[in-house]
Amino acid sequence: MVLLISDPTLGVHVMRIKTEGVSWQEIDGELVILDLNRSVYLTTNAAGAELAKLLLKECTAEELANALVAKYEIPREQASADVQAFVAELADKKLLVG
Amino acid sequence: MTVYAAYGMRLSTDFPMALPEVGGRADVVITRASDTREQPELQNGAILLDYAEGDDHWYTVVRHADGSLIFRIFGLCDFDVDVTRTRVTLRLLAGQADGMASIVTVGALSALLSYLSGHGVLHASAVTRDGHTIGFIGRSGQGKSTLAALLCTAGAELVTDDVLPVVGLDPVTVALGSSEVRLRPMAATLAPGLDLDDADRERASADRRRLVTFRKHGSPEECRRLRALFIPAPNRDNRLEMQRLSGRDALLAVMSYPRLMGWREPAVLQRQFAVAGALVKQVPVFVAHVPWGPPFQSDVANAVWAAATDRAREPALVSGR
Repeated sequence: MVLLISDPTLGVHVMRIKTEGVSWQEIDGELVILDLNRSVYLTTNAAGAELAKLLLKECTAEELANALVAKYEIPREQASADVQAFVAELADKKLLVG
Repeated sequence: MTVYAAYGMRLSTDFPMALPEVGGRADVVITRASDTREQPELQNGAILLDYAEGDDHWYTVVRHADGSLIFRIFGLCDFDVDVTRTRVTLRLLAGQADGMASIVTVGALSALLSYLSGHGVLHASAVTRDGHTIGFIGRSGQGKSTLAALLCTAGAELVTDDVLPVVGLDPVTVALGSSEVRLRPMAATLAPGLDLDDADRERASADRRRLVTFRKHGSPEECRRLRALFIPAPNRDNRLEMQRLSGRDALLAVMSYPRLMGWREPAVLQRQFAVAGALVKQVPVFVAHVPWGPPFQSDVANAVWAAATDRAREPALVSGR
């Protein structure tokens, strides 16, 4: 089941990134993710790569936002918005499982 | 049967091929069956590859339950490939021009066999000069063969045209492929130095292109270290510039120009993705903005080579290569 969280700061649902049938390449800190069964690509910047690595284990949107705040020293609201956008894109590409 | 060298393999055929002849035992034996009036209905099986553009169904590869394959190019031919991938039967549709057996074998079948043997396969042409090998990657009609031929007129040696198998990753090495370039008629008036009246080197192909031979030797063991890849971007604005792509964009670009499109087999896609990832970490990829012809400027080949090799010396994304 795919979990979409409307407000990551309140999210308590756990999620993780799909790994079965998916291949990754990390280049210069950025990621290119390929769904081998559907030939769909997802690219991320360095922050997205951080989130994707965290999502290899189950975690919540709040934990993801906390990680961005700690790593990039950005406001909490911005981190939450970034996580929400990233999670939505993963869900849209069917790369998120819960 | 004659044995030919291409793409790191020895191919034996009972029909003439536009490839350098070599001795030795063949890796793959290709025989031509009688022409057929129509292509029979395909048997059920796993579709490894299927490519269509709109209503035009171009080609498909189906794996049968016994492991054998059929590679069908619609309206043109079928290749039956046995389970060991060492014996192939070609059946052309009746009415094809002489030489078509060579064209589909050198271009399409060789690419399929390279994919199935685990090599990365790029839709690219490549040349070597002064010890540097560079490739031109892109879709059909984008200028790969034209640039390769231009550089060969300026003293480069042809590595391959249209199919570039990546046979090594540490460092990135590519196998010798086709020894001649297939040019569209418009591109045939290339540059001073390319003597189109040289019957020993230039002839018409079965698909109405002009074939120009730029290499007469080659062995399956020969390979070249790839220094850079260029995506042709022809222009009429006299712009000569090599624009380097980021690693991420380079990977997406390399993956977007496969020699055979429409792969559905996850294992093949995974291998191509892994090879492309390793390649772009070591080999810079550029968009090559090149003043286009015909008529081409008299010095464009040397200018392209100078710009290309200058940028090819840029450091890779990973060190120690």
